[in-house]
Amino acid sequence: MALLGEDGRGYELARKLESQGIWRSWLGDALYSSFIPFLSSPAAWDSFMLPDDSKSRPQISLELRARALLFDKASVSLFAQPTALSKLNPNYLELHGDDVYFTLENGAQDVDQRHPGVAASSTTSSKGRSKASGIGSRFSEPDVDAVSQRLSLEELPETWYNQFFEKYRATKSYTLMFGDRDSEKRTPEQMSTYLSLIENHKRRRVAFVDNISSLRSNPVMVDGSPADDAPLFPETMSIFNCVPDSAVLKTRRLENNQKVPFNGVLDNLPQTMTKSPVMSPIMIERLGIRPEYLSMEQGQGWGKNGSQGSRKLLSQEQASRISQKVVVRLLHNVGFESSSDTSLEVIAQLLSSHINKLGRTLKLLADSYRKQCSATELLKMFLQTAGYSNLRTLVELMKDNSKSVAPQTQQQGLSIQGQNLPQQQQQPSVQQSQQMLRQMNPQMQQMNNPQYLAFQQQQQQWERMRRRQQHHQQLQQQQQLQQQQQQSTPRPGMNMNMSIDKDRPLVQVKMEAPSDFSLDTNTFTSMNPRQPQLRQQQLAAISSFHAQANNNAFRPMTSLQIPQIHSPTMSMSRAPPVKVEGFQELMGGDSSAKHDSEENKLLSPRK
Amino acid sequence: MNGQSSHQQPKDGRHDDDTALTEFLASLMDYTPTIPDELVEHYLAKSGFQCPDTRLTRLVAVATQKFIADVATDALQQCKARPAVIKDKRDKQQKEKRLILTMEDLSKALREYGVNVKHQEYFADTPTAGLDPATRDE
Repeated sequence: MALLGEDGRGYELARKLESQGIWRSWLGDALYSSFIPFLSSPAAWDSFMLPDDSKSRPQISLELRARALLFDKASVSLFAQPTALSKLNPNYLELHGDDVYFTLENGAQDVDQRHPGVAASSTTSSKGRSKASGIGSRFSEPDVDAVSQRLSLEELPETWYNQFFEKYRATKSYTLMFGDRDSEKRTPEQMSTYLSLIENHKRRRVAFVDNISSLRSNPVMVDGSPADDAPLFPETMSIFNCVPDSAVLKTRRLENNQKVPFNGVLDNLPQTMTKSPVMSPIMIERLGIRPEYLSMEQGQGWGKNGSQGSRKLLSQEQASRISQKVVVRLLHNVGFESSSDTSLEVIAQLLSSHINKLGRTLKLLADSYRKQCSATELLKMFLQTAGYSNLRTLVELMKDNSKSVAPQTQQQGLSIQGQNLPQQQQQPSVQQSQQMLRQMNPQMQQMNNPQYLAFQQQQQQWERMRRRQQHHQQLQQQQQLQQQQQQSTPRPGMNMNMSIDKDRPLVQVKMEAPSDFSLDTNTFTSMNPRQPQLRQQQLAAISSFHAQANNNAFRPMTSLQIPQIHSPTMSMSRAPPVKVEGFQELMGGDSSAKHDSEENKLLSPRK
Repeated sequence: MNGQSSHQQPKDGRHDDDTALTEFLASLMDYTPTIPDELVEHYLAKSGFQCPDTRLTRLVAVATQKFIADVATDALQQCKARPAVIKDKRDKQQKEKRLILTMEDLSKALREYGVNVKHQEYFADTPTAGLDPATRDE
């Protein structure tokens, strides 16, 4: 507090107060006489203000009372900018009865003294004193109050404020306050009068003024009445017309709740630009396509927020059911034909526990070594913990799975072609299909969807789509299969078959598993006009398929829906209702396609 | 010079490892694991691990797939190792042994992984059940 001077004792301020005769009125005549010698010199003032154990109780009480006034007047420098003593308004330094003071003594006494009707004035209180015994509110225990009262009465006379209020109560204005009940209504005129009154009052009491001479003239100009310095108690004077200073209430501005993007250490795994030395530059230059993970920005929830699409949240039951289906698929891949109920449940639980364990490991590693290690190192640590430090085993697993798909796909293709014969009406040529594909590419360039697929991935996805469509076709015609002879006539030229099958998934995938494929559905709809009849058939197939499936929650996992539809009991302890060959085709189809035969691959247009 | 080259080799090795890992992660996007991403994410979230990168999810899926495949393969070997069904003299054809996963095979396979799913051999209704009559009398 700059007003207290550099040493913080406030000698200058005390001198200023003395020059206006405030100490005398504040302390009373008796105390003033013992106080004034301390103001004679700075040294004396310092010794007065310094806390000293040798001082007697009355001395300390006097010091505290002096401090109270001093600090109260100096506290304005906490809030206001100019801090020069010379700029202090003399009126400000005066003692005013309507200033708000805190009371820390004579709490009960104050309450008694107050007029019971003056409820509002209970907010005003006498000057605070940091007396140890006086700590507490006005509602403190009477014992403490009694002690403080006794002490204060014995050592010091009444505070200035009490004296002031005694006098004020005797004045006419106080009694008139409660006699005048005409102005009980709240009227705009009285409210504006109140506001101007308050403003004048504040202007008179302003702490710092630039020009003191101007201030002296001001009171004359503003208010001609001699009682302009009368205490102003708006709570009692204008009970009904008190208004706040401003119509706009000061509200704390709500903090901008910005979502802070939080990136885990494993969120940004090293991206590879050299996925294939041939493809990537071509991809980016010609098609503007980049692998989807390259364009992934930091902190972007991968659909967890729901903003990126269809990442579904699973319930416990759904998860356990899905894990059982996954186990069925895995068992079949390994070579089992069937399994008992219990073993299936056990392995499903094992699967979930294992994933849990891996997740815990990852979390532990990421949390513990987030700062020391990079993402790649963390991954290596994780793989070592899991036992797969040699990635070859995992790569082989992937290859095995994809190989087991390829030979079965051809069988499927052949058998399904036999079924599709009656349904086909048109056979678009190879060139058409290739044209369609070429059309798709420029469209993909225009897509705003940030998820772009690699060209190679797209090809593989075509394969997957085709295979899934074949699966669905198989299910749709299960009963027909049993009756019909599976006479498959290998059609001449696999390319023709490919073209047909490729057109179909355009629609089917859109309907059933849009979330699985990142390609924009608009591209699919653009193809539809070319195959209107096929589409109708597809829709019929799909509707019946869905009627059987009755399980919309598992849409993304179209391949796994098959066993559910295939037999009502998942336990597979009974013989499958269809022939073993058909069952093989159902279960053998894996969704990955890495090593397809060349015939099944889309060929670039021959020029 | 020699020291430099020998020092560089482990660096290159590490670099190769990193490259191999990065390429493997890239290849994961081409291969869709049998375990769907949603399921893996569900269980990973259960243990407190969240990652927006799908490659990590797939890595976990592939690792789990390998684990389950290993368990299943061991169980299959146990199943095959069991003597085939005794040829019924009346039947002319020998019954084909159907590969059915049973709890016996599974429990034997899981024992190697530290998981005990053994069935109780019998349930006793009294504490002295199964003991010798001599000791029981005492």
